[in-house]
Amino acid sequence: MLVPALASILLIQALSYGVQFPQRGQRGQGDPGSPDGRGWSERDKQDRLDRLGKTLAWRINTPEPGPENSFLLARAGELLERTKQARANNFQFDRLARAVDALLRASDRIFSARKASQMDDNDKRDAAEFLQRCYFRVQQADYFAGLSGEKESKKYVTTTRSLYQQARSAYDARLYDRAQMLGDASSLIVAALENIAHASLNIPDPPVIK
Amino acid sequence: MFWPAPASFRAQAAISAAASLAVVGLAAFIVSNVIATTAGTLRADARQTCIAACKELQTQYEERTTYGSDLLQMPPEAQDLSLTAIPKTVLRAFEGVEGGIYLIKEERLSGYVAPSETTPPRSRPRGPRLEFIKTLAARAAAANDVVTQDNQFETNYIVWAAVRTKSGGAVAWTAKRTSLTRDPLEETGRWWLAALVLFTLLGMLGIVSIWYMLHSGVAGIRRGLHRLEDDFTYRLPMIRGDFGLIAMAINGMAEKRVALEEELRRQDRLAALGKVVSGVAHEVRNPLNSMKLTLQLLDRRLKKGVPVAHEIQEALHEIDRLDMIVGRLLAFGRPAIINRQVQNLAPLIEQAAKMVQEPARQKGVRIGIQGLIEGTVADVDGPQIVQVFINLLLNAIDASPPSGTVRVEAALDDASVRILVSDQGQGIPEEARPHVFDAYFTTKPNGSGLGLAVSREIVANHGGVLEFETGSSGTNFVLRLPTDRSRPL
Repeated sequence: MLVPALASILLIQALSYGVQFPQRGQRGQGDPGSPDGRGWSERDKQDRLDRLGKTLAWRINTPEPGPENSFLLARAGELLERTKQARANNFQFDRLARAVDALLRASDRIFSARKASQMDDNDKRDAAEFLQRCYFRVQQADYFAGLSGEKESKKYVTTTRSLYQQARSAYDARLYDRAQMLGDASSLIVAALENIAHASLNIPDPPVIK
Repeated sequence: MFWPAPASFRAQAAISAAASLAVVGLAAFIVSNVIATTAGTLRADARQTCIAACKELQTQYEERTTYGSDLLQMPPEAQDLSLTAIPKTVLRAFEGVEGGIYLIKEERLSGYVAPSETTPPRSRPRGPRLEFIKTLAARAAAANDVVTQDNQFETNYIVWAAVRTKSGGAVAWTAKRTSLTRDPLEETGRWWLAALVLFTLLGMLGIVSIWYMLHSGVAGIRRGLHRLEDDFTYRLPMIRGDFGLIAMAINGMAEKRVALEEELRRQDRLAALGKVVSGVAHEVRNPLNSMKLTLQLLDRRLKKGVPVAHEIQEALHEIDRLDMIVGRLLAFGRPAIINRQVQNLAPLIEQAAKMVQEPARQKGVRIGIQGLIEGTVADVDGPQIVQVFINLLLNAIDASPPSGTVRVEAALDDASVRILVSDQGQGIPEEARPHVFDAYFTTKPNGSGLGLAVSREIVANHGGVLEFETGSSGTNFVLRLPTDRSRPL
């Protein structure tokens, strides 16, 4: 009984890590997919919603989420509901789904960062460059937050800045893996804000030729 | 150090004006040079800023598109929203720089950001500015490095920079305005220059004003003094300022001088009157006494029946003497009328010598005349010159000791006849010498004090000179008369 349970937990963890921590080129960005939301069938949309819902449920059940995670998961849950309601507009659905995905990824990075304690100086240069990009991205938080229409937009900004500062502290403590995790989390929150801002544009879907 | 002082106010004003103009010219040159240099430096700085901002924009665009490859496939509105975040973040660090991304394939501007400090906010480029950005982007798309260009839109001087992104799909561009007319340093420089010119002109105006006031004041004083030399009743006109005080002081001095001269004249008149009165009283009293005594004697003799012819003669003589005294007074007082003619002086001297022969004989004095030649001619009134010789000879006889000699010598110079009358007396006392020619001054008991005064008046009317030299061995009176009346001595 215990072994299957542990095995299932490990499997879920491995799967979620693989999905939530994509290749380096995709760090700090939302869920890859069709950029304009076209090509999504209803089944695809439902599958995507299911996957996001499962991940969210699993994250919420994780013990000791911490203040940032609590906020991010709460916002992800609310945005998931908005995503479900936006199924009629492919672009809006896609952007909101990307936002939910980005927030879940950010939450995942924060959890992972707690475990990371690598002190390999070989990663220092990569971590520095990555944090530089994160810094530039965090600078855009205000702009996207203003366009997002989110009721707690200011908290998004403070959360992303707080995570970046934690990343800097980790870098200074030579915990480069942790620094990258936290930096990526801050960038993902900005990406979520950017996607929410896109969704608020109310861009109609192009006409479908049948 | 030798440095010639300016001769006049005019020269001083010219030097000051030239120096002021030189200062203005030099200041204008320096300030304009500073402005030009500063404007060039500002444009160069703006160009460097634009290039740096442009490269940073390019880098961040590359980053964004590399790690968010979906960006270029988004609907234009979403694409613009995301791209705007890039210049908005980048250009925050570059003051006064505007810029954005130009998408080459789509041929449109995306992500334009105006300088945040611009008031009112600058609008998105359109019209000529948009066309210019397209041209610049086309140049940048064809080039491998940053391209720059400076141009002028209305009153603004704009420095542009653009660079193609590595992916080649877009051009990052930036621009910065360095307004020629609104540049603070340039504006300040212009004001300083204007203030400098204004104050220098005011200074020059002040110098010219001071020069004019000094010049006109001095000229007025000078003119007034010239007129005052000829007409002492003239008074300097009132002048404003310090020169007015000087004019007032001069007028005051003139008033005082007039009053002083009037007082002196009054005192002179009183002194002269006193002299005349005392002289006349002295002259008249003696004959009157004599006449009184004679008439008393005549009265007694007539009562006794004694002949009185002699006493009557004495009285008549005294009356004649009184008549002579009054005649001399009149002669001294009235203007001289001279009937001049060119004549030899020898007969005149001999005539005078004959007329004083009796007094000389009584005292035993000999009169010796020397050097009288036919050529000693002069243009004179004969009787008046005879009177002069008589006066001089009588004085010489009186001064001579008994058995002495009075010498009369005549000589001819180039332009005058010189006659010397000398005696062998004891000379004129020191204290009497300054008053020898004064009217009614005499050292003789029976003298009238008019002889030498009248003689010098006659000689002066002839354009000649009467002088004397005196010492313990005698006195020489020198009479010089011009040979030509048109050339007085």
